[in-house]
Amino acid sequence: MRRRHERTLRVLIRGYRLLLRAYPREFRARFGGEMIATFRTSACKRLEARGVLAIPGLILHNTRDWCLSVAKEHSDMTRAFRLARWVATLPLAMLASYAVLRLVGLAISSVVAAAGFRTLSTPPARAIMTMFPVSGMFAMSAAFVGTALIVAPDRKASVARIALAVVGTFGLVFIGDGLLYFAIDPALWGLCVLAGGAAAYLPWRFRSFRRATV
Amino acid sequence: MAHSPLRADELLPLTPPVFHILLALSDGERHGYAIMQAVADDTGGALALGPGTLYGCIKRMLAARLIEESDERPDPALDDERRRYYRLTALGDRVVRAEAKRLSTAVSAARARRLLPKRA
Repeated sequence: MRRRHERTLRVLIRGYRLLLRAYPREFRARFGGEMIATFRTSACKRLEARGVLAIPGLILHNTRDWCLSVAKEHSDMTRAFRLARWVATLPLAMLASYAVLRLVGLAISSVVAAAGFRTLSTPPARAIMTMFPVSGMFAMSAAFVGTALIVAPDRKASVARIALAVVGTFGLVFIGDGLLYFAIDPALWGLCVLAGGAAAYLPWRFRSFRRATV
Repeated sequence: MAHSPLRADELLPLTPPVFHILLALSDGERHGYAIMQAVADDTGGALALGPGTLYGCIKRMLAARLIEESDERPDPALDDERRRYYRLTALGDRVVRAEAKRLSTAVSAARARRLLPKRA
């Protein structure tokens, strides 16, 4: 390559390095070196073939590519961050649900005791289910169906996916009940419903994320 | 090679850059600039990828396990050390075949409606 072109190439690469700063840091760390190498080869070939006449086309092409890809990479990072945050907060949401169900159980139990009804010797949350098994079961079934509908990803959600939620939920419920010697604990039911829903939802969520990002 | 749970048809349709990058890698492993060249040649210059689009696609294709980085370098002494070589995975191979078949079906349909000339 001629000396004049070498100088031009150095300037172009310096400019391209500056443009690279607009990409997300992780992307730049992983692909920045390769991008510069690719840009250098591409610019070198063009300069060799057409001389300085190649420069406007080269700048135009790479600027257009830069505008589109910077926007795309930032939008990908945002989506990845949202997904990671969602996955990280799921266990917290489940624990919070458990705590809320416990508190509701205690509150209802206190009201029942204050009204003069005989309380059972079992823990309050379990006592509610013992006194009102039918309504308790109905409420839990409604919670389960609601969860299954919520976890259904969209209108195209298949019956198979909801069936997976059913299997996951009941599987976990049986395990949970086994651990509690077949006691029906509403907090545990709620936890299992959420876990079953998550078991059905998370694989879909990851698949759809991967699909969307290709 | 890690087995991917994704089915090939779940990733279809592919975007033109992703399809052409997979097509370029179906001959064997290549580095970024060689992929750009192959895509430009395959499309008669209609699809000229820039480094940003190319490596954005490569990033997403690596995440989807359509391609993987190759450990081998054809000639390290003559090659820029920043260059990395990429190759198709088994999933990538299935996906590019499935997409080619899908496009072929579309072309056949267009031919049947006389939108394209019949094959000689």
